[in-house]
Amino acid sequence: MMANFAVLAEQILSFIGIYYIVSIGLNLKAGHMGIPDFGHAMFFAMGGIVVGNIVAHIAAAVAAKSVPGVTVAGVIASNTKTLSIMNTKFFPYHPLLDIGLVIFALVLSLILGGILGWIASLPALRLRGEFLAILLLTVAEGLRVIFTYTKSLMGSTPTVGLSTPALFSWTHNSGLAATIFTIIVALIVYVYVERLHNSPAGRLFRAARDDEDAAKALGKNVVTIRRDAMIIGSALAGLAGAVYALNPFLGGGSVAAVSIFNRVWWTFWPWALIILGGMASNRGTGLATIIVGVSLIWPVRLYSFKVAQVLHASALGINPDQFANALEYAFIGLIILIVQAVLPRGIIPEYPSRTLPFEKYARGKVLPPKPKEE
Amino acid sequence: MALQMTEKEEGSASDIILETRNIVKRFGGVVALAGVSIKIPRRWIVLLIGPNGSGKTTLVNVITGFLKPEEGKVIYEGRDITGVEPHIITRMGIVRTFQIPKPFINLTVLENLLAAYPPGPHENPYKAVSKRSWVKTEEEAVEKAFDILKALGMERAWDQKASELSGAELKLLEVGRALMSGAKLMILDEPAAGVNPTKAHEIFSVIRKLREERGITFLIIEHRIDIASQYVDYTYALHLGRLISQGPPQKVLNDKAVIESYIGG
Amino acid sequence: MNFETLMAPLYYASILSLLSVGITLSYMTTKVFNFAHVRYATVAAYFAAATMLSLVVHYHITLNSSVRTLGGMRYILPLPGWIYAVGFIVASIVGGLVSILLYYAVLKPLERRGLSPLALMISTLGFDFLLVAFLFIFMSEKPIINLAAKASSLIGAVNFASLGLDFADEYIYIGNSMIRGSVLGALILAVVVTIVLTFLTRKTKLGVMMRSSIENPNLALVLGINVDRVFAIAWFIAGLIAGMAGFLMLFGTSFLKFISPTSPYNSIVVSVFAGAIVGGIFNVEGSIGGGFLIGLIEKLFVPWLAAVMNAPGLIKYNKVFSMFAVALTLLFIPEGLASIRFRRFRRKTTGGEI
Repeated sequence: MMANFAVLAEQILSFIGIYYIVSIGLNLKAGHMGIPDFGHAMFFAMGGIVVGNIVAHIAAAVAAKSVPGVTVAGVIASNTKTLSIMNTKFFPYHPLLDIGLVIFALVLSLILGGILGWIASLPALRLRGEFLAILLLTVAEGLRVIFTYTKSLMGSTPTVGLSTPALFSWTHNSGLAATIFTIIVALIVYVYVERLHNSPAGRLFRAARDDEDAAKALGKNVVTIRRDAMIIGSALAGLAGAVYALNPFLGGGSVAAVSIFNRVWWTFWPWALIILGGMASNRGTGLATIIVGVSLIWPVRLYSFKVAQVLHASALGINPDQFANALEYAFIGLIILIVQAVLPRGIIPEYPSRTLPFEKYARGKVLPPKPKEE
Repeated sequence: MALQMTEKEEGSASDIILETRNIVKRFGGVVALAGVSIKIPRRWIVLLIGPNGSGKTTLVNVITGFLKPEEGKVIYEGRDITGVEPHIITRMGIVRTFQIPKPFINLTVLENLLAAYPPGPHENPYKAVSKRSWVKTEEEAVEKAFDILKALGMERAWDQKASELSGAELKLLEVGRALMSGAKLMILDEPAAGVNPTKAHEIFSVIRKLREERGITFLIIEHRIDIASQYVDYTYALHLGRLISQGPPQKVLNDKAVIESYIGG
Repeated sequence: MNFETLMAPLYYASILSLLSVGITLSYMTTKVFNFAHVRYATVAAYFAAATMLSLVVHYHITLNSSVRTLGGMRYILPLPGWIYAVGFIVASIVGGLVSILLYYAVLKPLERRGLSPLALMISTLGFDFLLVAFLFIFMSEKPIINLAAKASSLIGAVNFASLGLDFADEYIYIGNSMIRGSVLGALILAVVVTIVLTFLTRKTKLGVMMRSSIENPNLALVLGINVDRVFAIAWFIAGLIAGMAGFLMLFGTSFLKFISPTSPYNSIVVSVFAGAIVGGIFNVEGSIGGGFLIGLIEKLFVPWLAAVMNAPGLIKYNKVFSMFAVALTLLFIPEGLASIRFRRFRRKTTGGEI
C-alpha cells in the first residue's frame, strides 16, 4: 500500500515538474512576449532527440569497447536490443558517466532548443498574431513528418521510436531518482524565470509586448527582444524534452515522434495551463500545473479507465477506452473555455517586475518621511 | 526668415535647438509640405497649429525621421539629421509622444517609466540572472523615475497599472516616458486632446514647469488653441503645407490668414 | 499516369478545398482562425452514418443481391439513393448547426468580454476539444458498430471496420474508364460550391451585406445591417460545406483515413489551413483554389517527384511541401496572397451596390 502510494506520488510529481518546465517556456514566449507559438512541441522534441539519439550514440561509443553486443550503428539498426543491453549491463555500473551524460543532455537540449527557437524567430519578426501561430503550427507539423520518417533520427518504426538510455539505473531506484531530478530541474527553472521576470530584461519583454511602436519610439530594438524571448522560451522547452526522455515515468523508457511531437500534449496542454495560471505569470503557471497535475492529469492519464468503470460508462454503451480519451479532451477544452470566460487573467494575474524594493524608494521620494519615533 | 522674438523667458533666440530649412515633402502628386522653415530656440515652448491636412503631422514625421523629405534639411543642435533613422534620432534627444497614448498597458506607472530608460547592456536577457549586471543602472533609473513622477504630480500613482489611469494621466505618463528616455526636445502630438479643460490646464502647467526646472524644449501640436496659447512662447501656423503666419500666440491667432484657413477648412 | 491514379489526388484535393473555404469564410467575417472547423466534418460524418444505418434498420432494407467485395475489403453496402440523400442533408445541417453553436455559444460571448482575436482562436481550440470528447463518449464506435451489425444482417455486408466508419463507394463507368462515386461527388461539390459562393457573395443582397459588414462593421450597423446575423450566416454556410465534406469522407476512406474522433482531422488539419493561407485568407474563390493546389501538391506532385527522382521514400514527406508553401506565402508575399487580393476585393466592395 505504502509502496503504491509512493509510486503514485512520484508519478504525479514527475508530471507536475515536466509540465511546469514546458509550460513556462511557452509562457515566456506567449505570455511575456506575446508570440503565439502554436509549434511549441517541436522545441520540446529536440530534447527528446538529444537523449534518445545523440546521448545513446555517445554512450554506445563508450560501451562498445567493453560490453559485447553493443555497437554504435546498433543504436539505430537494432535499437531495442542495443539499449536493453546497455541499460542492464552498462549504465548501472558507470554512475559517473551517467551523471556526465545527464548534464550533457541538459546542456545540449538547451542549445538545440535555443537554436531551433532562433530559426523560428526569423519569421516571428515579420509576422504577427494568428498568422504567426498558423505558420509555427505548420512548421512543427512539417518537422514532425521529417522526424517520423527519417530512420537515422527516430529509428525504423515511427510508432515505437527509440528506447532511451536508463541514466538513473545506477541509483537502483530509477523512478525515485528521476522524479527528484525532474523536480530539481523544475525548481531551478522556476528560480531562473522569476529572476528573469524581476530584471530590466524581463520587464522589457512585457513592455515590447504591450506596445511595439512605443518601445521603438523609445529607442528599443524590438527585433532582438522578440528573438531573445523566442530563444530562451524554446531552449526551456528543449530542456523539458530531455527531462521527459530521462524520466521513466514520463517517457516510459522510449521516445517516438508520435509522443514528443504530440501537439495536444506539448503545445495545447501548455497553452491551457498558462491560460489557467495567468499569462506572463510564472507563479500562476506553477499553481495551475500543480492543480491540474494532481486533480486532472493524474486520474485522466493513469486511471481514466478506472474512472470509466466507477461511472459505469460501459453500461451506457460507452467504450471505457474511448471514455478515457474523452476525459482528457473534455478537461482541456473546459479549462480553456471556462477560464477565458470567467477568469481571463488567470488564477494569479500578471504581476510587476520587482527589480528593486520599490517601496523603499517610494517612501524616501514620494511620501513625506515617517515621523521619528521618540 | 528672421524670427520675431518677444522678450520672453530666459532662452536666447540665438541658441536654436532645432531648425528646418525649406522642407518639401510630396505624397505622389500631393504636396504635403511646400518648403517649410521653422526655428525652435532652446527652452522655448513652440506651438504648431493649422487645420486638418495642413501638414503638421507630416512635418513632425520628417523631423523625427519617420519620413524622408524630397528637399530641405533638418538641423538639430547644429547637426544635419535629415533622413537619420528614427531610433537614432530618439537617442539624440528628440522624443515624440503619440496623439493616442500608447502606454505599456499591463505595466505599472513606475515600470512604464523604467522601461523607457535608454537601452543598454542592463537589458541583456542572457545576463539578467546576475543581478550585478544591471543593479547599478537600475538604481539610477528608479531614482530618476521617482523624480520625474514627482515633477508630473503622479507620485502617488507609481504602483498603479497603466490600464487604470485616466486619459489625462496617460498623457502625462507619455511625457514622463519621454523625459525618462533623456529627451531634450519633446514633440507632443495633441497633449490636451480628449481631456477636460481643467485637466488640460494642468497638463500645460506641467509642461511649463518642466521647461523651467529641466530646461526641456517643447514643440506642441494642439487643436485647443485657446488653452495652449496661454502657455506657449511662439506659434507657427501651417496651411496647405505652407507657413502662413508666425509670432507670439496672440498675434498669430488674430492673423487674418490664419482665421481664414480655419474657416475655409 | 493513368486515370485510376488520379482518383486519390482529385478526391483529396476536393475535400481540402471544401474545408479550406470554410476556414476563409469564418476568418474573413470574424478574424478568427477556426480550429474546430475541420472537426465539423467528423461530427457530421458520424451523424450521417448513424442516420443512414438507422434507416436501414428501421425500413428493413435488404440488398443481399448487391454484395460487393472489392479487393477483399470490408464495406457497408451501396444503399438506395434516398438514404444517401438523407445522409447528405443530415451531414450538411449538422455541420452548419455545430458552426452556429460555436459562433453564438462561444465566440460571441467571449468577444463581448473583449478577448483578442488570438484568445478567440484559442477558444475555438477549446470548443474543438469538447467536440472530440463528445464524439468519444456518445459517438464512440460501439453504438455505431451495434447499429452497423444490425444493418449488415439485413443488407448482408461482409464485414465492418472495427476501427472506424467506412461506407462502400459507388463505381460509375464512363466509356472504359471507371470513376468512383466519392471522387465524382467531391469534384462536383467543389465546383458547385465555388459557383454558388461566387454568385452568393457577388450578386445577392446577402453577399452585399456580408461584404459591407466585413469592410466596415460600424458603417454596416448604421445602414441597418445586423452584422452579427450576417456573420452567423457566413459561419453556418462554412459549417454546411464542412458537413458535406464530412459526408463524402464516409465513402473515401481508402483515399484518406478511416473516420474516428481524431481522424482524419489530425492528418489533414494543417493541410486545410495551408490551403486557406496559400489561396488567400480574404478570398473565397482563392481558398478553394488553394485547398485544391495543396491537395494536388501532396498527392500528385510529390509522388510524381518521387518517381522522377527515383526516391520512393519522398512520398511520406509530402506534408513538408505544404509547410514550405505556407511559409513562402506568408513570408514572401507579406500577409500572404491575401493582401493583394484584399485590395482588389476592397475596391469592388466600395464601388459596390450599397
